[in-house]
Amino acid sequence: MTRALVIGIGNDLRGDDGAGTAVAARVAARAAPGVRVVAVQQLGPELAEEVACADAVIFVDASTLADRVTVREVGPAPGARAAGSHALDPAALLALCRDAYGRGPGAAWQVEVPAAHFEVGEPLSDATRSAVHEAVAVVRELLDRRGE
Amino acid sequence: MPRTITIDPVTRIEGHAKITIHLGEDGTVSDARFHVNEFRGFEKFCEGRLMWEMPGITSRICGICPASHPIASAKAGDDILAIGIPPTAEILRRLMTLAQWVQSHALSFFHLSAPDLLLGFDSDPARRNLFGLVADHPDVARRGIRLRKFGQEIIELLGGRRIHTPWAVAGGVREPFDAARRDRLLAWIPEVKETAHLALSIFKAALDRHRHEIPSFGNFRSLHVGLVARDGALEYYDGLLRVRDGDGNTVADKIDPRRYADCFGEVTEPWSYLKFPYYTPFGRAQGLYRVGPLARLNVCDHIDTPLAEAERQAFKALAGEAGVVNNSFYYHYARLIEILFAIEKIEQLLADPALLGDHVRAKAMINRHVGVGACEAPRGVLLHHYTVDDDGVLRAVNMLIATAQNNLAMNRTVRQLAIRHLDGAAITEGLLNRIEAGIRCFDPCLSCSTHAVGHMAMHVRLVGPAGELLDERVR
Repeated sequence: MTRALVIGIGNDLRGDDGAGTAVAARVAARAAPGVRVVAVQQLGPELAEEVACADAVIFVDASTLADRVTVREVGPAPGARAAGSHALDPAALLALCRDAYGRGPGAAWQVEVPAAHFEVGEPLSDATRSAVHEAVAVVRELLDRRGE
Repeated sequence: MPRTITIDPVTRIEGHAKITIHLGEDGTVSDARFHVNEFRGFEKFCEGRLMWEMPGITSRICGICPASHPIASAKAGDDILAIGIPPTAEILRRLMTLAQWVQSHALSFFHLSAPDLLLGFDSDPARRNLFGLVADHPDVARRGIRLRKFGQEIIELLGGRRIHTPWAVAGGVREPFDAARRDRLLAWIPEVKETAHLALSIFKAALDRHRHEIPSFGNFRSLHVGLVARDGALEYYDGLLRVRDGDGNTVADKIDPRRYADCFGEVTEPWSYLKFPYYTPFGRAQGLYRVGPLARLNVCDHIDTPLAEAERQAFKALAGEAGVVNNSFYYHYARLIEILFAIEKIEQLLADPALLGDHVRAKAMINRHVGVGACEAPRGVLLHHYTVDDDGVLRAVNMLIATAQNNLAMNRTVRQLAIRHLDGAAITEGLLNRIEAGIRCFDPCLSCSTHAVGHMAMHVRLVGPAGELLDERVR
């Protein structure tokens, strides 16, 4: 069983949208045994089984709403996106875990990285690049707190 | 009085889109338009990049089809290098292409379309989704999740990660495979075969329940286009283009994908960013064609795996006098047959001793200034066309995307459904449900076709002849 799962979400060809995957890459470079790191363009239902079986899950995504790196606990709740698209949001994915497998991770957090520029082919903006470093530290602290 | 109904955007497809339905003076449907409002401009953005980078770049176009674009791109690179790739590399690329089919088709059927088929088109929209499916049919939902995971796992084991894999390259692939990963995938085969059969039985059981709906789900004669093997078998990675008409006549055959521009043109409309490809010898008015699972099963002569071929025979029985299956509802059926085919073929490829060869990449310099790569993406034939200079710097890029090739057919499907289900000036739940379901038959991926990202909501507008808003609903 994966003890901790870090999921970076985003597209690194769309400027700041790549913040989540950038964090994931940096965390993966120094991940402890038992920590699995994946980068996805969007959350799909195929992740449900793995998320359900993990002790802890950390979702990392770019956010146009956050003005600083934020971390909050997230729990199961079918979201608007869950009803429609190919993609789920973290709360909807956790709800799918609960409904389909009768369980979820012991703890789940969503780390949001401030993002503002999403042009094709552009790198991370300076502000988001700086926030990525901060978010990496936040993720590592969450993992350390759990002894990973 | 002419009016327009707009559905903006459509749910359970990928990307942003809206639909308008235009009413004539007599209140009947005069036209329907499937609009695409997002544009990412990947073709333009790629100009100036090195040809070698393209598989990696194009793998990021979409998180839904992360494997198909790099395969087509790498094949365009092979063409520019003017080389044949090592046999092991071809086997591995074929595995990757089939894995893409499995994971994409599994998502389309189990998570996006099964709620319609199992819960009913008129069931509560709040429940007619994956969560409703889990509640009422938990085993089906779990099996769907694992089937998609099987496809994703192949992609991950081949490429090192699920998406954006830089694995396919001009000349072959980056890494050989090994026995441990092969055996891990072989262990999946019994389970996923059983799931494919389950899905087919679910679909067949639903046919009678929806028998009154099916005749108006994009049921019209059209051209069908796809790659076929040289012996006429269903093809997915290589082959030549074949065009069959709605009566089953082969109107063009053995078209080298390099010559696609001789047969397929694209026009644009001011109301959509999605191009409108058509078969140019028939002109724009008659050149509407469909691609993807339905078209592939219509243009091939046989399938070279036994279980899928048996299902194809049953599928062909639906054609009747037309000789080909012209009803878009049966995209679902064709998709499921292709899942079964892909699993059988994956099993065959995993058993091939050449799978584990060490030589997986041929190397060469730029030998041609133009390269075309084609493969069958889950939604239909995908072509990448590159023009490079002596150093391999891209001067022009054109991508012919499957969803765009179905654009005219999707418009016509919406029109047919609107004619059948529009009752007066009211925008009913039933109309919305069926138009969504009609579009979903094609499983359009607008992230690829227009290179858009985003999630769905649904917005319906009814507009009069002078553009006045008569009615509006948001879901």
